[in-house]
Amino acid sequence: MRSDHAREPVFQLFACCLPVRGARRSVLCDVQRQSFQFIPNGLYEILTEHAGETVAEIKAAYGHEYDEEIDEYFGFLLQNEFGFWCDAPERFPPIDLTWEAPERITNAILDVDARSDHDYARILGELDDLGCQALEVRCFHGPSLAELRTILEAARYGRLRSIDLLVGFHPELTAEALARLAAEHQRISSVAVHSAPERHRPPPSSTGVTFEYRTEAVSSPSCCGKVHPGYFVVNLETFAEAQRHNTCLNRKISVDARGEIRNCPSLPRSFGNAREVSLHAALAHRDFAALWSINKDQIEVCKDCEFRYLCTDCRAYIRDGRDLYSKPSKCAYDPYTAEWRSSAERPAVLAGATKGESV
Amino acid sequence: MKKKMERLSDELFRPLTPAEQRRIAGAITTTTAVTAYETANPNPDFARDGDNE
Repeated sequence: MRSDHAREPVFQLFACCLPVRGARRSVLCDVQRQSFQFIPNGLYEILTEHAGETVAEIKAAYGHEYDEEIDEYFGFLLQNEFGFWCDAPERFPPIDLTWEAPERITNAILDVDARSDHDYARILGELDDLGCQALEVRCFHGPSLAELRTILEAARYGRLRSIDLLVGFHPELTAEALARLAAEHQRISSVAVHSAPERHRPPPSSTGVTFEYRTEAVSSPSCCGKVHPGYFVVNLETFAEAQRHNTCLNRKISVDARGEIRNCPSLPRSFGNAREVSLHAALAHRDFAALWSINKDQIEVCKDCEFRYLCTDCRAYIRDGRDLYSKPSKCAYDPYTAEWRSSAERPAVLAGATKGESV
Repeated sequence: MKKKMERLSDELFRPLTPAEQRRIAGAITTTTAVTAYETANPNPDFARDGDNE
């Protein structure tokens, strides 16, 4: 029921528009539209510390020193459809950022090279049992179509929702052949061919599968872990997961090219070989999930970064191999100056490389 | 006194270029975290859906 006392409207952010403060500037993430805008920390302060206050109250709180800037801020918010004026903000509760998943494993990486001897049926079957939804298959060599089909056949009757293929170039992997493969195996969501003779982006399939040929080689797991705006993921699932979990390793399991079960193929610790140890047994190891809960709010430098709920973390290549909470070494962003360096600040360091061990 | 309020027109708040944002608004919709590959081109052009477009 409305109060008889009509109050001045206040600005209300849409629930899907979430401000994140960084050391030098903030971002306003629209997880519904999957985009973000940079905003001054002053505007972040208005949106958080002064939420529910009228413009007059906010201007007064700043001693009327910034009236013009404050008017500009609200004009910007309206123009970019980040919110609306309302007189009952209590009717618009914040979005629930609790992240939950019923699956024990949500995503997996399977590495393959010319010397791999994987039992694909067994690995894919075990991933299925664990409820895995998404699989990334990374072939560092150029597999033939027959080899790719062997892998994909093992997933044909499973319940994976998506398979992303990253494969080396092979003359059989023409755009037409890949399109046919994607039509045969509709769980494929993307195919990227590395080490190709020339760069090429065929049009996506009618079902939305994307294809890409790159000339760069992806010859080992060490090619992974780069942090760059092009890899930011702005959506509710990632944003919510990032609040308390690691955006790369949470609920992930990997089998490297030699069959070793790891959190990530780039991490040194193995939890056994997939030919001898089931994925379930590896997952049951007390240390397997230890990295899942390392979130960006705990990581040095990242905890002051405005991108911390958008970016995919990396715990394998970090600045200080002795400190599991140090910044990813392949991130060239400095949140204290809001500047990107042209290359990473320091050479990549493998986390725990000095004490890698098998269990 | 509260801190200085910066103007939105400052270069610091310039939106990312379309090339930088392409992947952000693109089809990264899988439920897995996306592994990021280091390539020679740190800012690949994802503006086009196909070579002929």
